[in-house]
Amino acid sequence: MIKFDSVTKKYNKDHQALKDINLDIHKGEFLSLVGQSGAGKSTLMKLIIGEEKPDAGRILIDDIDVARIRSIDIPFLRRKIGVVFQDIKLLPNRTAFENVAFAMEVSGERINAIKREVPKILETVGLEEKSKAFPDEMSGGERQRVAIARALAHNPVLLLADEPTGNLDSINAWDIIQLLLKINKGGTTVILATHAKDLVNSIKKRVVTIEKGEIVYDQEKGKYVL
Amino acid sequence: MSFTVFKRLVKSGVTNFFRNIWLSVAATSVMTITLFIIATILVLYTLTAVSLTNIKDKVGITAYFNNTTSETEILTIKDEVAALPGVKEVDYIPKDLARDQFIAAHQDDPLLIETLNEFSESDNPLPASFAIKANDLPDYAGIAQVLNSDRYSPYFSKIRDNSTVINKLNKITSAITQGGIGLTVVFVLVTILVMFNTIRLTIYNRREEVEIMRLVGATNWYIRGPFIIEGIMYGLLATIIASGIMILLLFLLSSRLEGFLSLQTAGSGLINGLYWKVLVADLIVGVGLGIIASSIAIRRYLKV
Repeated sequence: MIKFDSVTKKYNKDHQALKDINLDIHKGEFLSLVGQSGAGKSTLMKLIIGEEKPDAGRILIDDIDVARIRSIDIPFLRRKIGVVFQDIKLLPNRTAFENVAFAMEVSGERINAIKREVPKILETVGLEEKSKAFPDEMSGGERQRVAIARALAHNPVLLLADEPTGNLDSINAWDIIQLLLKINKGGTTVILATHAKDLVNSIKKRVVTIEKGEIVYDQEKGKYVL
Repeated sequence: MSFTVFKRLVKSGVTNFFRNIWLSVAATSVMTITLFIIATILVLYTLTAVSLTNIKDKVGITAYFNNTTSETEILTIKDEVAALPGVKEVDYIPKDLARDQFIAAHQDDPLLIETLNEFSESDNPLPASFAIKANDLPDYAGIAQVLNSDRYSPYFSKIRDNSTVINKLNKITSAITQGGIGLTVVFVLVTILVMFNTIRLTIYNRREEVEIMRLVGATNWYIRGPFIIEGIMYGLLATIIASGIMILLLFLLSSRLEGFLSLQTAGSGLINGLYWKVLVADLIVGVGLGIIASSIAIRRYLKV
């Protein structure tokens, strides 16, 4: 489904973020992308959503080359991909419902569809009770769930989670991982970038390890080995 | 773009406008001043131009004869003057006719009539005169010069050339145009600068929202739209205020203006036309400036 074909990305002369990356990610897979900070995990994610362009190589998502996509088509690519970040990025003056609805409004969904779909999505992430709560009335784990709900708003084929548990305690972090696994079970491909060793080891799914911009390990049912 | 999306853009733009209400008031005020200046210049220019055409018809040289000049001399001079280059017509007004015209013009003033009647018919104090029309305005100066030359000056007591009024009016019109354009340019620049900064601040305030919009797949126009609409709103509001004030002023002053500029029947039509001119000019400039300023701010500060 996603294919990195000899992808190289440099931010400047001295800083090579990714070197000759070749990677196949299959439909419905759950892939943990591990490595230390600055190893290139986030760059890889940014390349997938067209936020950055590679210096060489191709990135194919369902046969579309993201490296050569026209900027006018990027929004439509992003509607197929849900994104979740460590810093969550919720709008503070909107409720959980409104934050999720925001993603649907942007793509021109009608208000009836929004009113019908958002409660279902909030239920998926286990927040149907918190629909009217504002971000500062929720815990860190709940906020991240809202962010995941928002990422699911377009019913994406791919969910990218960049350090989603970075700011959470271990219990909340584990809950988030469980949620990602549940979403994956529903058919959505999930890529989880993290350096949380214990979490990765307990997931028991494919692990790709990046070090200094290169893939050093790629294991089915892998472990965090660094 | 669907109606749903359009509605959301407008709503978001209106929210932008009210979120920094004092900044919006400042931007709208500057825009209002600019539009009012433009409206004022438009009105002044139109009115002077109209009065110019009105006055052109009344322009002419009046040459008054000495009492010593005989009728035969006058008729000879008439033929000669009529043959001068640039002369369109020479109207001879003999003493009797001058007297009749004077009486007709002052019939409401018995004292003047009485005074005139003190004179006997043969002692008529009113001089005979020529009313001379030229083909074109610049011709008057040459004709006046010939009449003032040694050949003719002994016959005339006074030569009045009122074509100079036109020059004065022309100078006023061009001063209004030039000064107006200068003032407009300055204020247009100030307006763009103030609005640009206002919208830049809105973009800064909404940077989180914009970032999220991009991530969830908002199109460029969905992200930019609200800021353009915010700019248009400043233009619309300023148009309503500035042209509203100007139209009210025109309405209140219209009867005086008509009298002062001797517009007669053309007057009310002209003033009505001005209402529309002011409104349309302000609307085009206001909305145009709003779009320009917000486009510059978006181009520089909104990464999409």
